[in-house]
Order: sequence, then structure tokens, then C-alpha cells
Amino acid sequence: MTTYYDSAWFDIKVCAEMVRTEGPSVGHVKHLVSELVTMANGTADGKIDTCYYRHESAKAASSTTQYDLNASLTDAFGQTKTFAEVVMIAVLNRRTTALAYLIVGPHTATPFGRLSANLGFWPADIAADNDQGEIVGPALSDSEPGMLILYDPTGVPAGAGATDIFSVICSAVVGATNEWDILILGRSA
Amino acid sequence: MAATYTNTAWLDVRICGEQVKIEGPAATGALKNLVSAIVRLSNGTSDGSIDKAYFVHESAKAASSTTAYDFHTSLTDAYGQVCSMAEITTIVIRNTRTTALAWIVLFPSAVAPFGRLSGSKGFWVADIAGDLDQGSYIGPGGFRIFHAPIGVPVSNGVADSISVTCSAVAGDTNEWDLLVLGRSA
Repeated sequence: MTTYYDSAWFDIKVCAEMVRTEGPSVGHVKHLVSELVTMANGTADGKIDTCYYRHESAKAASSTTQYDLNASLTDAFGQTKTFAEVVMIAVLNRRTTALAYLIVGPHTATPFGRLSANLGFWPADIAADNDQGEIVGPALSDSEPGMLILYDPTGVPAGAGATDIFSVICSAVVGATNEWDILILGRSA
Repeated sequence: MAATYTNTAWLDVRICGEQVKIEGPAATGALKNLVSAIVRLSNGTSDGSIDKAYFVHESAKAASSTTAYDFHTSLTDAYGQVCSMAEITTIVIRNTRTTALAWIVLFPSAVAPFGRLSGSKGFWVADIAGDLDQGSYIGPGGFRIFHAPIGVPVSNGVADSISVTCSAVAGDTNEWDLLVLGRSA
């Protein structure tokens, strides 16, 4: 019998360092925002049992890539990944072409992540004009990607056939060279 | 000698999804899906650098209240210096309230909204119908990180403000951390 066991951890630190110099007087302030979290295997809050990763490449200008959280994603073991709740989405834009951004947001069909029952990553669509979503700017170099990281330990529900798709849309900057890393962590129930 | 201020920053991001395949009594496969970026932002105003940093821990914010941040004029840093930014590279916001469903939403302000896509730069999409449905919801205990190495422009009086609005969940106990990195030019 084959079983699969997914878990995750993240270690994220962002630090601003501010030095004041005034003759012999020196001040030094560090503002550190730090999160170190381990998510054991499970379906309770604070845990995950479903993980999906992909490096996308050679994506055309203005193309749309859909992520159907209920049916279409398969992992490196060939297993279909079905998310009932999503706790984290990380998108790293790896293209270095100037202005070649990505939009990450609810897909127009069965949009995932819009606020409902006080859970969501993006607002409800007031005028149904599909202008939710966040921008991930281009990388400056291979080691300096544009980044967008969404994290909600409670989990944002993915309703099968109703609210289960988000998309990544490429800018119109010429060239089928858009590429990004995407990691999705969540729970199957 | 006049005081001088030198601001720098760094980001260390590592997120790992681990998958183990088990057949019978033994693990027969293991995958580590690691997304990682370690970035040093030296002092300066060119891409890849910063020279402005703003941090605040907000607390005791009322239900349904809105707090605005004007990146051009109203923020002061830990040394009391006005923190006027021309470009923003990084926004980190962490909802530190733990009450169930007590989200906060970070969004371009209704007046002089910062960060909507313009000139192919932004943190949020443009507002198609002018109905203010851009923004980022952060659930209790959650966070959001934006990092744009090339920066998102701040335009004085035109596109320089973001807001954080709290959910209607009862209690004047909303709180969050906000860290903003950027450049003065």
C-alpha cells in the first residue's frame, strides 16, 4: 500500500537596519519581522497535508495559467492534489525583463480566494469586473526575484466547481520567456 | 557634525513543502520543494537598494476602523525622521490578532491610492470600475509579503497612500506589524 505524507515549514525574516551617525555618537536600530513555522501533517488549523510546487517557464506574453485547486494539479509523485483549504501561496517571478510583471488573483471562472464568510485572500468583486489580484514585479537578477507570499493559518476555502481556481496572468511584455516558481500549501479537508 | 542616517535591509525567505511516499513499512521517496530567496538591499537609490525603512506595530485598533499611511509626508522612522519614499520595494504586513475571522485588509487608499498598476508597476491591479475592490486580506495570524526589486513609484498627492481596515469582529484589539522598505529617489 502506498501512502503520501505532506508537511511543510517556513522560515521568513525581513530586517531593516538603520544606522545613525553623529560625530562619535552612533545609533543602530533593527526592525526584524520573523516567522518560523512548522506545519505538521494533518487537516487541523496549523497543519497541512497537501503541497504543490511547480516551476513554470516559457509562458507567453499576456497568457493566463490556471491553478484549479480541486482537480488539475499533480505533484512530483503523479498524485492529484485536491485542496479544500489553502494556507499559503508563494509566487516568485523569475523573469528579469523590465516591467514583465505577473498578476496573481481569482480566476474569472469559479474564482478562488475572494472574501466570503470572512475568509479570503482578495476582496469580493464589488462590480463583478474582475479587478482583484496582486502584482509580482520582475526579478532584478537570478537571485533577486519579485516575490508575493500569502499566508493564512486558518485556511481559505476552495469550493469544488465554485471557488477553486486562481490564475497567474503574464504582462504583455514581448517574449515567451515568463517564468515563475509557485508553491501552494493547504489541506485536503 | 550633522547626523546622517544609513538604512539597509535584507530578506531571508525559505518555504519548504516536504512530501514523503510510503510503501509498506518504508519510505520509498521524499521530495523537498524549497522556495528560497536571500536578498541583501544595500543603501542607495538604485534598483536592488533601499535607503528608507518604516516599521510600526499598531495595536488597540477598533473594529471596522481604517488607518492610513501616507508614504510621502506623514511617516516618521525610529529616529524621528520623516520617511518620505519615492519608490517602495517591499511591504510586509502581519496580522497579530488571533481572534477568529478578525481579518485586516491592506489596500490602496480611496484618496491618492498607492500601488495600483500604472506604467507596468504596482502591487495591485488597476481599479477597473473605480469601486475600490483591490486589496489584500490577511486573516488572523497571517501575513502578506510583497517584494518588487525594481520598486513601485510613489507620487506625491496622487498615488502615495495605503490603508488598513479592520474587520467588524468586535473588540478594540486589532493589531498588526507593518514594515515598508523603499527609496527616496
